[in-house]
Amino acid sequence: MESFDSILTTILKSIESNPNQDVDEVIASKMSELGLSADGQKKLEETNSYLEAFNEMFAKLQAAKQEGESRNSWVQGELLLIADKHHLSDEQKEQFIADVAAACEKGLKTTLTEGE
Amino acid sequence: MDYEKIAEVANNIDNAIKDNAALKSLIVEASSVMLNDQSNETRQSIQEFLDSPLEDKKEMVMKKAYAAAMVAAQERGLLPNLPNNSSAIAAIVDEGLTRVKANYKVGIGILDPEVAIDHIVDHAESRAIAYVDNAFDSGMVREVAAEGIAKLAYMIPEMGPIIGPIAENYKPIIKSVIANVEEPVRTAIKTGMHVVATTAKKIAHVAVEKTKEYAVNITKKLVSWLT
Repeated sequence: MESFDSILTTILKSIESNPNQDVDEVIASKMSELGLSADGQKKLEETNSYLEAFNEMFAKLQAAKQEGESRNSWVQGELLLIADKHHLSDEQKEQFIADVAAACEKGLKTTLTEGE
Repeated sequence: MDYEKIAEVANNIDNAIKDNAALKSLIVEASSVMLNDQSNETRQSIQEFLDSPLEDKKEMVMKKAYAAAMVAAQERGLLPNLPNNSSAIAAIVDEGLTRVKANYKVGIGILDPEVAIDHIVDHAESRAIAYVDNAFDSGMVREVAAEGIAKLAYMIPEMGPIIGPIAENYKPIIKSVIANVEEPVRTAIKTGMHVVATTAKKIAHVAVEKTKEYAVNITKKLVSWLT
């Protein structure tokens, strides 16, 4: 019977069999064979963009930590950069950072207490 | 019944398969899907992923493979509880694979549980910043400066599943890794999972307080700029 695992196996086998080909191309071709809809293909492209963005930001955080910066200080700096880039007013900036911090607090509670 | 004729047809099909590599590969693949057969290659890929250092460049390949499997499985109705938006799916893949690898390394005794938790939290906070950055850049909150802070607040509830996806959503990832490895590795992952979860619960309060602290600090800083 088809399952999440069996689909994953098919994809991983495909990647293993095409070691010299770009992984995005291998996956796109396999998805097309599996009959993924156009909406599904679009969703996968967006998901991959997010994965790359997460990865890029993680690398920036690791570089900052290597330089001796704390995670919280890095987060503050990044939020201020975003706020400045988009010309938030001081009032908006304050609200923005308080809102993101509250969301982080809630998200971290989930991630730290639901691990098992 | 003409058994001779049936045998001849079966033989012809067999020869056609032997002569046609593409057809053969398709049949092997279809059987694998139908029989839920985890191949040696899959086991090997997953074991290599677990054994590679944290943040090895090849991790992205595994993340993309899992993301593709999740999107395809969701479309077939196999993961009914999976969120529909791409940012949440990416967060689930990132969280699930980060956790299972860190848990394995704790389980085999080469990673301290607190370092594993720090690593998991680094991923969570990086996702938060990347998501907010993308929300502005993509136009989700482009009008924020013109329309005021209410528009920005709209984005914030969406951040919860990006920072801390619920365990129910990333468990299929952990289960699938466990299903694809040998018994001692399976035990190591489960041991690591228990140790990390127990330690995380102990330090959750401190970590959350620190997060609250930066909001207070930054607000103070902003107030001092304004006055």
